[in-house]
Amino acid sequence: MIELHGVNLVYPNNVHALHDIDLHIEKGGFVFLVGATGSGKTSLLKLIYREEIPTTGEIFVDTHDLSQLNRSRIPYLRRKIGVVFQDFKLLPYKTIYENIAYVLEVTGAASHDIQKRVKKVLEMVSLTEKSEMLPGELSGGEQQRASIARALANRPLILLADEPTGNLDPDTSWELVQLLDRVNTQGTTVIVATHNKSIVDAMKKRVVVLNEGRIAYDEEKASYIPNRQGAPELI
Amino acid sequence: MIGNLPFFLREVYLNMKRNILMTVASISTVMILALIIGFFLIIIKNLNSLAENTTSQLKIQARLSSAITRAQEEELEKKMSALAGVKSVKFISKDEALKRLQKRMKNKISLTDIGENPLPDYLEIEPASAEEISVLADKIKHFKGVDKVIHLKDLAKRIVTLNQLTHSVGLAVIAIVFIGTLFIVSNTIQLTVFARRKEIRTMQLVGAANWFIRWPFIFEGMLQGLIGALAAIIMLDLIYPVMSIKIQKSISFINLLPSAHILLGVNLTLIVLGLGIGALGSFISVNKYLKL
Repeated sequence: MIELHGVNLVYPNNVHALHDIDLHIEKGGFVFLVGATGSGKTSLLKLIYREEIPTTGEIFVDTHDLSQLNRSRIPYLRRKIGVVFQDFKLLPYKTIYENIAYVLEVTGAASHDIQKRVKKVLEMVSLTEKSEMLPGELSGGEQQRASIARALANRPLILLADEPTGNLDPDTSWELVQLLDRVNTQGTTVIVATHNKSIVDAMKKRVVVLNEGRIAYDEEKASYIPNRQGAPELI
Repeated sequence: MIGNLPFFLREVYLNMKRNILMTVASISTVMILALIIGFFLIIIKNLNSLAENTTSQLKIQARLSSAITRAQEEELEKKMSALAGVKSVKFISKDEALKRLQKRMKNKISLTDIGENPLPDYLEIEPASAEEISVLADKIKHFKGVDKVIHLKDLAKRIVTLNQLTHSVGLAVIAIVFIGTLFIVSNTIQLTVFARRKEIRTMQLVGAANWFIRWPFIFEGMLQGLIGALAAIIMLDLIYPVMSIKIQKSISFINLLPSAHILLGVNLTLIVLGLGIGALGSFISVNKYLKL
């Protein structure tokens, strides 16, 4: 589903964000991407939804070869990927309902389907009552949940979540991860970049650790702090 | 695209409502500039019509010798009509000439005062343009049977200069005002789009195609341009009739164009301009952020 071969990413300011990344994530996989701030987690996610282009290396997402992807095809790639952004990126002048409906409008979905689907995802994140509010009127945690609802609205093949529990209390965080797990069991490939140790430890999923832009380790059914010698110090 | 129209129009409505300050700023900028352009258009149209009117009053009088026969006169009339640059030739008999004179003098003279009619028969030649008048007069002078040629040489020259001046100055003024308007309006629109550049980026990130993002902005620009232009039109249409009557009362020799004659053209120009500037300004501004 997602493949990165020899990927390097150097930003215009010469910051070398990612070094020689080789990563293969199968369809239906669930991966926690962990690592200290600045280790390259967000950059890696950005490469997958084609916000960044690798300096060298190849990336394949579903049927798309991102190095060959025509600009006009980018929207089609992005419609297969739901992204929960670290800063939410909700449209400030649209209500929560309209924000979620927007990702369905862009696909040309029929309006009654849009209504049904938006209602459904709003229920999933318990935001039905706030659907007519603007993002600015919501708390950080509520905005985060709205952002998650939007990412799920399109029934994406891939769900990328960048610090999705960053603004949530432990109980809500746990509920959210359960939700992501449920989405995953329905076939969506899920990648979660997180600092939340307790969740990573409890879930026992595949953990990919990034350290200064390199994959420090990659293990199935792992814990947040790798129990092996020479493993990098996290946080 | 057509299928998305209801969504786009709803987007336009909501964006304008929720960004009300920016909307008001854009509309009032277009309105003020449409007012200025409309004002200049009215002035220039009036000046042009004034110049044209005066030109049409410029005629050459070819006074005929008293010995000329009716057949010779007709022959002369034909010859003159065939000259290049002649619009029309008309025979004016001495009786008619006297009538005109009396009319011009507001009946202050009568034939009884002067005894015999001293005026000659003449041909009245209307040139196609004021520029031709001196050349034509020279040619006509040499025709047999023509006694004397009278034309207002200096006045013709001045009118020609004035005509050229109003045309070129008018064009230059309109061009400058137009470019200035385009610049200011597109700057205002760019500001409103700039304020929403992050939204544009987000729309791209959640899978919107560029055209899907672009169209609501273009419609919004067009609607704002249209509203601005309409507001200016309403003001001009209310002000011009009142002003033209006042001006005409104080300067009686100036004939201003009637409202019905001038305003339709100005109104249409402003509507097209408002729509065009709104669409173009939005298109250019949005594209700038879509390329990111």
